[in-house]
Amino acid sequence: MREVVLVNISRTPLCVIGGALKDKTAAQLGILALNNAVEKFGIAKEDVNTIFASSANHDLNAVNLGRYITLGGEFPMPTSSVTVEMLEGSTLAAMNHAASKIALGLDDVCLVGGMDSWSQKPAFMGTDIVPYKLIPPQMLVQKNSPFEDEEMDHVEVSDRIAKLYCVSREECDEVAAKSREDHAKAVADGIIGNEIVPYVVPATRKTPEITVATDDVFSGNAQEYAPLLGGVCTMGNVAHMTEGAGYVLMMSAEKAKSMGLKPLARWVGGADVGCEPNVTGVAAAYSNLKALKYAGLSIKDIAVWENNQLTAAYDICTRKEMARQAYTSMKNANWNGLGGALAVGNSGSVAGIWLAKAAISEMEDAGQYAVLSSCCGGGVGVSTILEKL
Amino acid sequence: MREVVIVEGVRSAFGKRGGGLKDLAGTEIAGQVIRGLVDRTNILERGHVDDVFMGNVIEDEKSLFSPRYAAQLGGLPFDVSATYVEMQCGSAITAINHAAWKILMGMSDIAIVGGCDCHSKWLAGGRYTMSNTPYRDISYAPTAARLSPIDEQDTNMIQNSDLMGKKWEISREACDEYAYNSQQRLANAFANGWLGDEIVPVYNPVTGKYITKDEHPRPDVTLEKLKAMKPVYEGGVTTAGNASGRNDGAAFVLMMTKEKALELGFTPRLKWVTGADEGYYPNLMGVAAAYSNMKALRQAGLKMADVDVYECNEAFAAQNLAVIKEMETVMGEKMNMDTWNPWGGAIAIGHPNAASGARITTFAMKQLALSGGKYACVSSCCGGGMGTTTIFENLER
Repeated sequence: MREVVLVNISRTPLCVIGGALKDKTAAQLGILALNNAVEKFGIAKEDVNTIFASSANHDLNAVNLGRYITLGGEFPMPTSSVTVEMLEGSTLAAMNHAASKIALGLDDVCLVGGMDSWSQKPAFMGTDIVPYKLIPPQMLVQKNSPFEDEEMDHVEVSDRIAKLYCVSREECDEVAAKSREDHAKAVADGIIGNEIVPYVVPATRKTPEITVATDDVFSGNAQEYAPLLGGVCTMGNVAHMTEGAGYVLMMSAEKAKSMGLKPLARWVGGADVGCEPNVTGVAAAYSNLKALKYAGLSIKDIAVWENNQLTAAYDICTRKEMARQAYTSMKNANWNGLGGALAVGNSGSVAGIWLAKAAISEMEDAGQYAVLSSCCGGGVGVSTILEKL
Repeated sequence: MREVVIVEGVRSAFGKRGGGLKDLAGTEIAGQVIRGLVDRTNILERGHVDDVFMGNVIEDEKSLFSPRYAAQLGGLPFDVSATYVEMQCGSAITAINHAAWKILMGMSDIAIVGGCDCHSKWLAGGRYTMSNTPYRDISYAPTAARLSPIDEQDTNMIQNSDLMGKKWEISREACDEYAYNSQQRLANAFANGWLGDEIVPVYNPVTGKYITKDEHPRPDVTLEKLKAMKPVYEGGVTTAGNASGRNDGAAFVLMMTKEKALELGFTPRLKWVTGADEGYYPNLMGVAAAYSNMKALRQAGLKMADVDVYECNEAFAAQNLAVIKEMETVMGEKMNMDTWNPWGGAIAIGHPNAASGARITTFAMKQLALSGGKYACVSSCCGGGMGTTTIFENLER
């Protein structure tokens, strides 16, 4: 089995819904970030074997998303491309797929990317409603689960599992505030942010040219908001919606060496596993432990945990569930040390790119292994383990 | 190194657009087929399924995340993971490759892999209102969906087929003959009883009927009738008779390690040898399958003649013939037409896009079991210009 390494990371800033990136569809964001990435990584397009693309919200114009962005990025025709998706955990799943393909010797160089737009999210209408022409368009409701008692959105699940795991509103607000604090510190220290390729909003007659080089961080005070549905969740402790795109460059270790590139980290393993959709917030706990088992590691070995914090309650409950299953405490774990989605927002499939960058930055000082994880709508958790080189 | 094998393959009967399956979303058909696969193999009692890999080309009506939704409808336990793998018509073949890698890497032991699509439930898309686009901007007219961002490459499938016919010098007669053969071969396979037992009945609760028969094949069509059909575009080779259909259906295969199969008492039937995918020009997208075939053959160290069954998804007769011509030219070997889609293909049986890959894998499995051949090469071209291929080895010889 060949060694697989992560070589470089590049992404657009994550902009709030209706923000600087509002006019770009997911595929357009993907193409924009792809061009930036190729330039930043300093690789020739001919060297790339496969592009793995994912988008949680899908794109309206691009029928075959992976292929569309490959063509839009003007890659040579034989470049392969595939769409791999697992909602919020898409890029982590895609990284695991790309790593498998490289490890088995089928590819040398892969680009793994996530792209998502909330502003340009497509809505779908059925065409089999008769008489189609005489009624107004009816938006379809697409669900996570066919079962009524399992079908919930992230806020409902958060409130539900907060009760199950005895998590209070105060704890949630605390986690949210800490995430934003940690993130602000990491940005001030220059630890994260250097993976962003700035986006230039062209000048219009009314506004000058604007360069966006930072993420749209949630700026409110977590304690000030009223509960959304009467539970622990408020606007302040649920990740806000951001959009953008980003790529991770993955290669076999020998290819990176022969190209003279310095890898950032080694891919060790990954796992994904399901759980009930109405407790999907803790799915990452299951996948984390499954991934550790796969890699032959224990919780003690992990120096850095990076979890996609869609809501504060998810984050706390994931830790509690892991502690419960592994008969250990996760209190002192280095968990989301550079903040997380509660600061930079729920960017759909781009989350994996953010997590990878954060984990790699932290591993430099903290230790040997990092676990990246995300829960996904519908009750799936996905994890990836990286090792410092 | 582990070995990945396929032990069983099932499918729904393929419905016509607006036919017996028209009231079911793609995932609902998939759920019933997964349930059928589970009942047939008793896999949930014998072992533990780790993964579902699935794709659907047409946006699903009911679900946000189709594989997970289908898995739940299929009655699989909640701890089964789900991954969406999509490459248009080649979705299921690519999903089989991705599942094989995951199993080879030791990250999974048992996976249910396939695809579903329901053309009767085609969705129109409009821009969402969450940002600043006003609701009234959403019109009746669906927003244009594109296969390529490059304007001259963004042609529709019929245009692609005609273009391939022109470029590879394929005559209208050759296309019609090919289509006629496809219908005859399928009818023959059914008449001999080689096919049919892979079909899982699918219940349509609206009509209250079980759908057990393919609705697309026309076994009694004559060559004269096909020749008399008008081409879709003046001067082109493509007619409704020599193109695949737009159908409703789902198909799945059960994959696991060979070790696991033997342990659980399954007969390992096909061994996954290798898989490949490669891009090609979007307006000549059909020929991409030739390139992925050749890449896979190279990876497996095989010659064209070593393969006993070529199952290539018949998007169009002109597309299949172009693939054969391109392979013959580049590899310098002659294709034995008896090994090419021996039981017909999508022109006859129909084409529920993402499901077709698992359907042709099941066909290849049955053909090898019958003929005792060694290798099968299963491939499909994909919209946007991708080809995807898997090579299997028969373990029942």
